Amino acid sequence: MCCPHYHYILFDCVHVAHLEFCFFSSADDGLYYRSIGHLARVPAGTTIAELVSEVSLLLTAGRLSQDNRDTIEAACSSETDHDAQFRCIQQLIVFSTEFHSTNKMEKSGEDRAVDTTTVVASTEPYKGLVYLYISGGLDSFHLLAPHTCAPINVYERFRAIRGKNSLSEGIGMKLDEMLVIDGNNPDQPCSTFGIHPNLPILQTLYNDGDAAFIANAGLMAEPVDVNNYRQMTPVQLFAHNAMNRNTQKEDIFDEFVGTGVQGRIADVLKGKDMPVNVFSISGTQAVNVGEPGGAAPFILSSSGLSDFNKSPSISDMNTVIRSLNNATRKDSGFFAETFANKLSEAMTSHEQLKAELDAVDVSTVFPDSGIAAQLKMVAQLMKTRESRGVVRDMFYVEQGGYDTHSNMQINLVNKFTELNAALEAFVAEVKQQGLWDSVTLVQFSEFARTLDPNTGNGSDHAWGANHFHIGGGLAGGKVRGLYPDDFVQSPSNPIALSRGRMVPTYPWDAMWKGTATWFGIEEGPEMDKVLPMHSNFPGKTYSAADLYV
Amino acid sequence: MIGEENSYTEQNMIDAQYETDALLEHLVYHDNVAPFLTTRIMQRFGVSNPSPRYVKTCVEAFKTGLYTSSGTSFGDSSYGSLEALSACIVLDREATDEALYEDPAFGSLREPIIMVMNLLRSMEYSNTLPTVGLDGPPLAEFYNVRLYKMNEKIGQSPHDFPSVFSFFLPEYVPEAGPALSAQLAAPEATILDMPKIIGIQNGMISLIKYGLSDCNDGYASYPGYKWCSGKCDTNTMGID
Repeated sequence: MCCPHYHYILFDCVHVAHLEFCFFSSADDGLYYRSIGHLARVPAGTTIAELVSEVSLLLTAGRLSQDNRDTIEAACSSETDHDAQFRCIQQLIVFSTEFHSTNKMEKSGEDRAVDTTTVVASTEPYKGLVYLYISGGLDSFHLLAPHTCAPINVYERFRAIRGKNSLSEGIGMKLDEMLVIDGNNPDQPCSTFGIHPNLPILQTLYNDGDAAFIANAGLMAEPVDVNNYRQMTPVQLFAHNAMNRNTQKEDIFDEFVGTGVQGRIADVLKGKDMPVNVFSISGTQAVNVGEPGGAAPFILSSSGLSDFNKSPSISDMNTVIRSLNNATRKDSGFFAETFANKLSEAMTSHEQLKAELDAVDVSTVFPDSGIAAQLKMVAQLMKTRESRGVVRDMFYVEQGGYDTHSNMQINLVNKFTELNAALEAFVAEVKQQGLWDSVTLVQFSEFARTLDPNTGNGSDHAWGANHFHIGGGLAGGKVRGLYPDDFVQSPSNPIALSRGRMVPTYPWDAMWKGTATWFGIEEGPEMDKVLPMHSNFPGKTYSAADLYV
Repeated sequence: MIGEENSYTEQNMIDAQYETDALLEHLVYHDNVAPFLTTRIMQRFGVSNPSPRYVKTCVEAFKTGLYTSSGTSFGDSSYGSLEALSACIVLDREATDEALYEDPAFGSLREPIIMVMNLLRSMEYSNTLPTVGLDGPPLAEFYNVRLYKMNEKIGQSPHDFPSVFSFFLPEYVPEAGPALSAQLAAPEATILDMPKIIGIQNGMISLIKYGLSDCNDGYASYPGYKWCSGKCDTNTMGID
């Protein structure tokens, strides 16, 4: 390297004006050069056994098992420097289950079982499904608004419920702001609709036949109206957490406790020997969870995977770590076992995935936003499908910030601009990879927002929403579902609650049914497992023949 | 609202105040409040699945405002004493009896930030900022400990909840392992996913090996001087 390693002497190996810069590197040498502070405890003991006991007492309250103490002593005794030995012991103890839980732990003596799902060769062509979750309750009547409607002027009603009066323009989209699209659906009250001006990608895709909407859809257990919706829909309807979770699970009666749509799809496909991976690029998500004991979904961040334990302090350190976390007895601490299992799985899946991801890149330039970074990671992951040996991938990405109780219109301009740029890049990249016909992106949110504004230039929680899906294989260019023509609560209106909250006329299952079929789920028991409530909606779901070309 | 015709609310200010007060009282004294607070605080103190007896004892402490242990009294005997509740939670036999170590269902996973604090405190973290003045931000002489973007790295950052639902779901059951079979809650497992595990472990061994820095996924931000092992490029030396 370029700089000699001298103790306490400033050396200038490249011409720099400011001599107070030091040019020493930070290595595991006890010098801590590139730090603002360090762990400065001087060990009280001298022998390695004493050091292990000391750190065990301080970090695990003495819980560290004898088995792990022996392993750590053996591993760190190779360090001759006393301080280096102390650092080695600390490192290994922070990898122990006794540090990560308040349990005592006892090993079973057996090796931890490794998930050796062998890759079955399949002649199925690849398909990818991306679940775009808009978090916060998207004001989806800003996504899709009425434009030209006859005989009822739905647009005027829309502007009225959105607060247009003699004093104010209200919060409804104006005709000349909208990106106009043809509804292509004689069952709708409008012949043309308007997309928000900051989402031009949706208009482009829609006109290409690669995007479509379903109007006034939402989470339902069965078809309801204003008179019976409360008792027939046993969910906290206007609560973020409950609606978020249940939208993702789509199983209100918990027939498959704890699972979500994509998780159940994965379970069914695996049962048919179709290798499938499930990814979340945004944390643990209910939609991805399958049955217990099934393979866990991968959870990544948009920056991908960093190195694990770079420049390890002792040789074979990862082997030692695995041995510290080896299988435990059935009656040994449950939380200790939970961590040991998680850590071992994490190390394995990290290794595999990192190798694959490091080998790929995408050619499209993605913009600088959270959602764009997530979609870029999706595109990169799709490129690794062959080395992962899968024919189906499901992804979860999320864009937040849509809980627009105040200043909604300004916020939506910003959020939609961000979303539009991200989708544009994603579509371009997927097309470039030749996968556009094989990929569908479905968009969900927990609920729509009140058409009636509040006093903060925003709107509050509602229910029935408009949502979209995009993909090369879609029979797009159509507004499906049933767009409401009367937003005002009255005895003659079966679907309008107060403040412009609509009872949905179509369930989330409507888009899911056709999508799941396209993805490989058959009618009958398979579909009943993936969408346990779908049979409650005769005539209100779409088949793959409806949604796809 | 006030003064509107057909309004169900009070028509003048003082009545509106009384009504608000009545609502708040109704909420505070609601039967759910004591058990709700008790179980969640117990979970933060290392008992993920408190027994009904334990919960009941501390609910009583909260409601009566009094908890007595070995002759010492805690709380001022009024409803809602957090002093009585906290004393009950940490002094009850279910928090102190060593025999509980033998029960595999007892205890909890530890919170990421608590483990980091444990490491910093027990291993006596000490500040070694250079005394020579450095130009401008990000490093000023008064920075002591600066953990940077912990939410992304370990999934937890003090006082920085991602939403009103905090870091951990109180009823979260891990999707694999003995806790699942026994249907036991392990709230801290909510954020026990692969990137977080890699993140917290990388950060802790970086802290041990290199001190508090940004080297190899460390918890701090770039201190403005020196570089990590093996690198010697113009960027990290602060040269244009």
